[in-house]
Amino acid sequence: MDVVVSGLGIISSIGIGKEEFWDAIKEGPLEHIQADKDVRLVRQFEPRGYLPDLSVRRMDKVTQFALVVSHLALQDAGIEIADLKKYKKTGVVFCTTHGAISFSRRFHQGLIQEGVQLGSPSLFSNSLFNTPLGEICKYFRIRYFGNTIVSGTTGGIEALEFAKDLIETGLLDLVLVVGSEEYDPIMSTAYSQMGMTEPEALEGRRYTRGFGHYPDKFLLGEGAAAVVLESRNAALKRNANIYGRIQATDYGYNKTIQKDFAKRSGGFRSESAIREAAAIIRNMLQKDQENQRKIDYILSGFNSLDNEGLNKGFEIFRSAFGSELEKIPVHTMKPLTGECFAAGSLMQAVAALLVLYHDTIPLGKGCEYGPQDGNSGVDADRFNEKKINAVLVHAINFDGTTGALVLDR
Amino acid sequence: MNHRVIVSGMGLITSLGVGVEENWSNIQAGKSGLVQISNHEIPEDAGFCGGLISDVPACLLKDVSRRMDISSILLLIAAQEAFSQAGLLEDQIEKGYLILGTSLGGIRCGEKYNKKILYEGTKRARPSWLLDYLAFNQGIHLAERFFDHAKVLTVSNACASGTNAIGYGYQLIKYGRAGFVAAGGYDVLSPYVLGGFNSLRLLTREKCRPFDKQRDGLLLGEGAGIMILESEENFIKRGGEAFSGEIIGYGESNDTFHITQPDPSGKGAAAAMSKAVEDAGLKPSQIQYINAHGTGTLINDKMEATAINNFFGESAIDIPVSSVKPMIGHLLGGAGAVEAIITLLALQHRTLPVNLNYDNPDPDCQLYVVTENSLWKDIRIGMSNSFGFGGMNASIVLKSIEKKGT
Repeated sequence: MDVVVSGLGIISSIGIGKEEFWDAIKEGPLEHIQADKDVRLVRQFEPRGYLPDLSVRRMDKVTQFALVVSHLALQDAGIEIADLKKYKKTGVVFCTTHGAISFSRRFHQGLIQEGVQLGSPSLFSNSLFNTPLGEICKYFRIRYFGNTIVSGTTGGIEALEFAKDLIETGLLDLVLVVGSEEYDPIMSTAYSQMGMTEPEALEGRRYTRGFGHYPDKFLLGEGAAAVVLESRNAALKRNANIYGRIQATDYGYNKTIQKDFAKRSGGFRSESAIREAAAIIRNMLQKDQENQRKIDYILSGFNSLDNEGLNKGFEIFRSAFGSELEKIPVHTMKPLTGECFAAGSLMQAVAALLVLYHDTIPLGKGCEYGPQDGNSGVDADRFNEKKINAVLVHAINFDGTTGALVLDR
Repeated sequence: MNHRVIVSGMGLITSLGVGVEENWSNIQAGKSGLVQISNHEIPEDAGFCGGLISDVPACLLKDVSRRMDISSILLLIAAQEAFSQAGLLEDQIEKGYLILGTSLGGIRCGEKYNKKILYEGTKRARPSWLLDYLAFNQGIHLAERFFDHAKVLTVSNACASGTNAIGYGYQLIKYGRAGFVAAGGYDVLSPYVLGGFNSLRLLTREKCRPFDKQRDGLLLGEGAGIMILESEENFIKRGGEAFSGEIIGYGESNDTFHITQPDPSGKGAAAAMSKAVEDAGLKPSQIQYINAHGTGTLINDKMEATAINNFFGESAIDIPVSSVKPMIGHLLGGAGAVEAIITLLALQHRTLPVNLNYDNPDPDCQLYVVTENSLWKDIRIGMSNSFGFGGMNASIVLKSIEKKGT
């Protein structure tokens, strides 16, 4: 059974909605987009502009993002709330890394300062990881199935694999996959302590260099993404717009990679770790005959963490594809969107689906690593001469988990 | 083709003890591990009680990083027992699937980090605490210990998480997506959790009395439970010798009602039970025991009793029901996993856990509540329920085997 994507929703610092988002990634970083120190924030987000009947008072930003992005994806799929009743087996799979970290920080600081008996009930209940899922199910009246996955940057890929399995096994007919992440200052503190961000160095920069020659640190980000999954037959039956098929997924923890990361917070360098990470991609591509088709574009999850580590990290693709990599443009959009963790890999998937849909490789100026050493922009015209049939989305997390996803026409 | 899903190993740690044997022995004896909690962060006059694990034997902590959050340590202890019971040694497992449920992950490390920042600035706060706070990191610690490669899936659906984790593991094996899954749940007690449930006015200062007319709230606990699930084919292929039982059905639903309150009609809970029984290929009357979510709050217990009566109909009053939360407390994300293990132990031993503190039956909770410790003949099939914030409902159906290893 083919599982396809028939609806997209996105909220990011570079645009809300698929059109705005695509315009931003197609042309590369826009002049007006600047980082606020070490973070890219979502601006001009007004949830009630999308969901007028939503009560957002006391609602954390992760949940607000999740609700609106779900609405955008369902709307894009041409599915009204009332239509959801037609599907007997509908579910939601939500993913996040930090959840409502601002509410949990405020709740705990309140306990420390005011005493354990004086906590705020709304801060507590909204700080739980599955509150966004509960609100999505409640708002869209999805009763049949719901699950929250908590993971690192591979979370979006894990959620897509989980949802794809549910459709393939016949447990669900339609799945809304949602990822959401908010920014809180405690993240700047923590990730800068770990040597991953450097607030002062990034002030006023339009983007960091995903695979650049300068030792950039990464930008934090916030935002959300959602996709509607269903079987190809079901999508065709209702004349839905199909963005692409989830052809293959895989993810996993690997001890060798984890140990390499643990040694150096700036990335991984050992040949054995690179081989292990490449093996996950190769195994996924070789699972069956059909999967051996060529990849036309790679959207990596690298985030400007450390120059040497990243260039070595790029070797994953060289190890997986060999000389074929000369013909495959590789991008990362994290310098534009910031690192959005679990939601980030779902955002990558949305970007990849838009690449397939528009049959266009984004210019991605400043966010690319050309086949040789490129920091001068992908020659989009050269790559755009051929049809883009399959895109690889890749993510790697500091806990030693890597994930890969192939989306095709 | 659907595969049979067997339980080849179980591991447990709660306030009642370390290990399956000690826990079961204390459950059979009708003991409670709930005590008053007071320390430098929780004043005695707060009146908090709970199932605190006061001492983890030093021998179980060898090779465990002192910096690790206590949640990881509990999880490792439970997993160690489960793998050992399944006859699996650490170096035998190259690849595996881990599915874990938790509500708050490494919350104690998160608390330490926040507190340091607030009082002593960023320099004194260890970033490793924040890493250990992340709710997927405990699964990574487990993977690191037992596997070279593993798929680690952390699910967080509040108090239903543990049941969800085992349910998803069961589905992966049943539908041929995996041959081996270690699944379970964990959560720990902390000022954050106690303060949170206290703020929602859900904690009792008295005893936890599920389904009793005088019930007025829940008591929290901490612990971890792990089940080793395998397809029968995988078990035979690796030369497995004995297994404890099997999982035969799983169902879940969402109330779509309120974030912290269950739907009083019990429709969502009944839907989860119905899906689990249907998945098991059974009639409702074939369920012989229900390990209830039974928190001891006014609303939850009434809702669960309503749901059981609505779904099981006339047979409801013949099905023995009990909650172990007066013994171990409410383990949140760990509850479903630990209670599924206790359900299977009860079926294996033909002895059902007593619902402690059930003194005054509530007419709103018309159930056959287990009050006496006695041998129940011919009991082999049981259900364990878990309901959580966010409207989550999950039910799992377990079956013991006639004779161990057959």
